[in-house]
Amino acid sequence: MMKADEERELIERARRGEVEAFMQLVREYEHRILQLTYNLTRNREDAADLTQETFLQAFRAIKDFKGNSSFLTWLHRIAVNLSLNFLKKHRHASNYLEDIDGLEEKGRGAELAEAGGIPSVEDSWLSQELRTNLEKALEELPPAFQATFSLVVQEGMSHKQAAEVLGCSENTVSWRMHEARKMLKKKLQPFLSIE
Amino acid sequence: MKCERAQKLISDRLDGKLSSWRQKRLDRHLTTCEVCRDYLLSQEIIQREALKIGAVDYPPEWWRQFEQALQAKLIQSTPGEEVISVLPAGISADISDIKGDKNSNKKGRSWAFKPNAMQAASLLVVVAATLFLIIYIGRSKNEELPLPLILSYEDSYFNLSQILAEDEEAASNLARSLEETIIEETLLAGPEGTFIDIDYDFKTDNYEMVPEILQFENLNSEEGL
Amino acid sequence: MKKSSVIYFSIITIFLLVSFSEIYAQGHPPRGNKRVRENMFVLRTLRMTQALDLTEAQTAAIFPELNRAEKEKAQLQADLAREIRELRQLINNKKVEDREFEDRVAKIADLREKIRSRESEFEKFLFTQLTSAQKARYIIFNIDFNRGMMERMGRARLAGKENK
Repeated sequence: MMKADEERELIERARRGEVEAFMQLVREYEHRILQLTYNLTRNREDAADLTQETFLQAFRAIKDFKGNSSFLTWLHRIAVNLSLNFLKKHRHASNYLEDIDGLEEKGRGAELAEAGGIPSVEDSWLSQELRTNLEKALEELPPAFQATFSLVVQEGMSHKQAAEVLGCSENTVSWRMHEARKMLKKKLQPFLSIE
Repeated sequence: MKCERAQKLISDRLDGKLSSWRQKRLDRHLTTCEVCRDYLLSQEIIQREALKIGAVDYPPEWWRQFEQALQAKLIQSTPGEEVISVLPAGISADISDIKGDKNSNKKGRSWAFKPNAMQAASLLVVVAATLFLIIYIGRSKNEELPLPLILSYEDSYFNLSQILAEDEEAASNLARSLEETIIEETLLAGPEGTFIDIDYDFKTDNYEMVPEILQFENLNSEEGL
Repeated sequence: MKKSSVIYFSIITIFLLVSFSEIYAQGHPPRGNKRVRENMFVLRTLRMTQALDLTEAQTAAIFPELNRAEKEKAQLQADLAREIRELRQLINNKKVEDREFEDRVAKIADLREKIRSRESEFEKFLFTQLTSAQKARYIIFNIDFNRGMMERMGRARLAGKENK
């Protein structure tokens, strides 16, 4: 993990147009940004495109980065905005059969088997059913709620950190989490009652 | 405590955001409310499963190609360009330099705005005129607005009420939410975080509350709300 | 009895009295907006007391004037809302004469001025009762409270849409 002063120096050099300095920042954070965009879009190709676009936008706008938040928070903000805009434009009714076909193409046989109901060694079949439907339910959340849930639960951010990324108040994050959980429970009730 | 409120506290607890005194209140509610215990269990399961949802990963070779492609695009962005605004996400802009500068290589998403002297002067005049209008004409004839009025509660209330005038349901929701907050912050929490110890007589099916609070609820019912 | 208990008891008493106030009820159950006004007043009073850390002496001096100002401003806001409602209905009516519009607009401007004037009058009085630090806290409290209310309203509207 990069030290703070090392990061500051790289940011300064990137501001002056040094691509290699910026690429070092990219290598530091690319995994996290990809995970975030994947959590939001649930599609590898889209996530990769959005990750690349995040870094392109960040490089173009790095002179506007004032350092009031951390660099990662700033990147998160760009990634979330891009992903939310993408979702609003391209959201379609989730058809997880298409997702399963996609998994097959990419050779993720184990996940396919699990999604199809073949129990894995670790998890029960019921848990797999729940997880598959949870992914679907997450995709169906309104974008802002999906982004909030992803940042807090999957990225492990505090409400304060998520509020900074999303540009809203902590109270709004808290309320969105509550509403998102209610929506998820409603959709997943058939799978929860079995456990 | 109403279950809706308890379930909100459950959400905060799962995110590690609950204060110790609210934790105690929630625990007290949970000892007598099976519905909320089930709710907590369900949300813990959802949380646990959400964390298991696949981490995406690619092999090192994929990342090398990703970085190479990104680096190529970064180098293509003209280094000498002055970028003075951040594009809103998702919006492409393709603006040609006014002078047709050969170095401008504005493919896709980049802005370049280099005002000449005439444009800068015009902009300055517009800004100055706007400031003049705001300061001299917008001012009341008698005196400057007092500092507090710049941050006026009544103006804020007016805006809010105009929106709610067309949405009776939202007005009711807001009124109810305010009532709950008032009750919580006054009756159930003392100033140092301690609170009046009220023994709730909860029944799981109808959430009866202590007499004082029930009386308050009834007042609203009598008023037809 | 603790100072804080006196303050909170006073606030609850105000709350209950306001709920029954003839000015609000006027023989009819309060509609949504009026309930909102009442509840906002109580919550704001409660939070302001905490934010400014008012002493008993201060609350004893401030609360009566606060109540008087609130009653007047609430009535003015209700009158203003009614004028605006009526203006909306008139606007598309081609038979209405210019004079009628002039009168309505003048009335609305007058009501706005009265509300601002009353608010300013109360705040000038309030500032005579506060220390410098409390005045500063009041400014920040006002900003935060106004913003919080707008956010709360946004949530209330969204909750309504999702229930449909």
